[in-house]
Amino acid sequence: MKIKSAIAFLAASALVLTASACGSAGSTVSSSSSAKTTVSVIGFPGLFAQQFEELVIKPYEKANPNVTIKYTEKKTSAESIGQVVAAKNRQTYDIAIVDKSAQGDANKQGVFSKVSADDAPNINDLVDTAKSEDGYGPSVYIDSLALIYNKDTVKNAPSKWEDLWNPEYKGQVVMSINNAFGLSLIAGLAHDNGDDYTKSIDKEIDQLKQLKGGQVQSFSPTPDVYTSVASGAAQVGLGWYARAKSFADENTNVGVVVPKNGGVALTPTINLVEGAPNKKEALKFLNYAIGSEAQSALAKKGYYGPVSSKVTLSDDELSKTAAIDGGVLEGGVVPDWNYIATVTTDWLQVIKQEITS
Amino acid sequence: MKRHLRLSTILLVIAVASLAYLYLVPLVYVLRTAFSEPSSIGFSDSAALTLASFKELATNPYYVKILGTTLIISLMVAVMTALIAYPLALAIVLFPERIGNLLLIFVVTPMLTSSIARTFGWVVILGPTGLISSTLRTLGVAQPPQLMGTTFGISLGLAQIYIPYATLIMSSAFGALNQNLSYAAQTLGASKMMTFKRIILPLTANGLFSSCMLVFVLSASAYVTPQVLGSGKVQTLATEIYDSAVVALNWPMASALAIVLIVLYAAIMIIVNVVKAHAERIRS
Repeated sequence: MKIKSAIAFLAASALVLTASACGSAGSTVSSSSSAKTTVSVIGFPGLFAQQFEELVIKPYEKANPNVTIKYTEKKTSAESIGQVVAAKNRQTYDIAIVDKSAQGDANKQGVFSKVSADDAPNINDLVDTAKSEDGYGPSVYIDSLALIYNKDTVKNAPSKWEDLWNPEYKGQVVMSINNAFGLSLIAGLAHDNGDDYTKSIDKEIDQLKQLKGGQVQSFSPTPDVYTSVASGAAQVGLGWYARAKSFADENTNVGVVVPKNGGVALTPTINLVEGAPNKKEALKFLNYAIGSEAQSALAKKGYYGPVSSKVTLSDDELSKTAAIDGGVLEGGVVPDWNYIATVTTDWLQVIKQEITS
Repeated sequence: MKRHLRLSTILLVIAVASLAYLYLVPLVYVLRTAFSEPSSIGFSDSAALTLASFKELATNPYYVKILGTTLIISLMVAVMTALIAYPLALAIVLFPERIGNLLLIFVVTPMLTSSIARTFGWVVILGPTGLISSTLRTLGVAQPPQLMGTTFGISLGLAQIYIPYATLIMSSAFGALNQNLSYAAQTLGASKMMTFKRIILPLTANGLFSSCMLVFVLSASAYVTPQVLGSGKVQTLATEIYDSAVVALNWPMASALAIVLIVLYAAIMIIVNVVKAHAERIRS
């Protein structure tokens, strides 16, 4: 009988553990206080969330003690948009940070509101790449696709996208390409091949198919590309430059390379959610996030390319950022994300059905 | 008595209402979504019903392959689990109580660790720089076989997670096994193998079937282990439902896949019950 009770207790404990594990998905970075206005932001997870919290949210909260910013991490832009759409009858989110490739359809479906310079005056100071052509949320930072590698195990550091196929790295490449990484890589390969990706991506897809035969160790590295490379579980990976560079500052065995004249610009957007419960405060925060103070911090400490033309950086600081003029993206590709947004579903479907499975 | 009956009725109404609200309402919503027009953002607001997602499921070889992979993995896990859990459960029931209890604790203890942690444990073992690959390299195998990103690797991880559940179900189902019947058979000249075949196996078949069915169903719907051990190279129904819902935002397809999973459960339960009934008929 005692044994049966003990087993029942063990089984119950196992169930509780399982339930707690299931409940851990989707986390919030900062806590809220009931006395303050809470602006709810949903966006990218991991290192970006930590940097955004440290370099943008905390200084803003310090300057605005009556406002709390609650940041919810979601793995992908689609997941963030899905959360916003699911909450549309009783919206809980104010701001959403999503890839430009995911923003277009969301705009068409009325998920986000337009943001004018009257709402957020810092829009007037944006660099051209960051401006929105249709009046919706502007870009909040500029980053580039990058190759990352483990300095301890890689003899010859990769220097171009083609190196992902290098037999020297067979079974040691990690990349998650069923998302913006894949879209950017296709644009980068088309640039290298001299192709126009608005006409056809057949050649690039054929190239990517060659990664299937054991060249890639994982298309879903755990916990992420950066950690897999740093731990030595993989030798080479595909990552985002700014995040990888910050990661490499703390993990000295990680090297980061943006191919010379071959970087691929990513310009994620910051959006006002349609029906945002705290619209006024949300717009103030959005304005701050694209302004010179926040952008300067993101560029100097996070290596992101600044979207504000008012940011002043030394040549050395600029060369380390993902800036298009003077940064690692100099001479690289700035994909037509508005076009890619129209074919994102098709491209991702091809990647999923013909490359990763 | 009347008061007792009223209390029972109230409790029953609460249970049925909770089940209806928490299970049936979402299920109806999933069913409705499965027949909605796909859109790039979730699903279209149009009230029109369409079979587009189901047509895509039936005609696109990608989804047919996913269904096949899910069935293969579930079958492999059910077999692997049965092969290990069955002798364990028999030992728990047939061995002296003290040893049986010790075995039971030994089997159940891994359940105290989260299945996510156990899955990551398998990454350490099966990974390219993991225990198995390192050992094989030490033994002179230059290119050890990749176990991560394979159906076998996923099945191994899932089997380890479900062995305790299967053992518990089997040992409780085998509780009624009367060992005197085995002794009687052996006294009458039956060999140990014949005793097992003619006495023990028929008496434990129900428990074996039930646990295999549970493990099969749990494996078909498992998400974390296939996601982590599959390395993005092996898709199952559960991982595809997640991808369709949150990566591609194709909620009608995610819902259609969920319906397929439910139909799969129902089909398995019907098949197992028919087989069980048939076996009972033959035995009697």
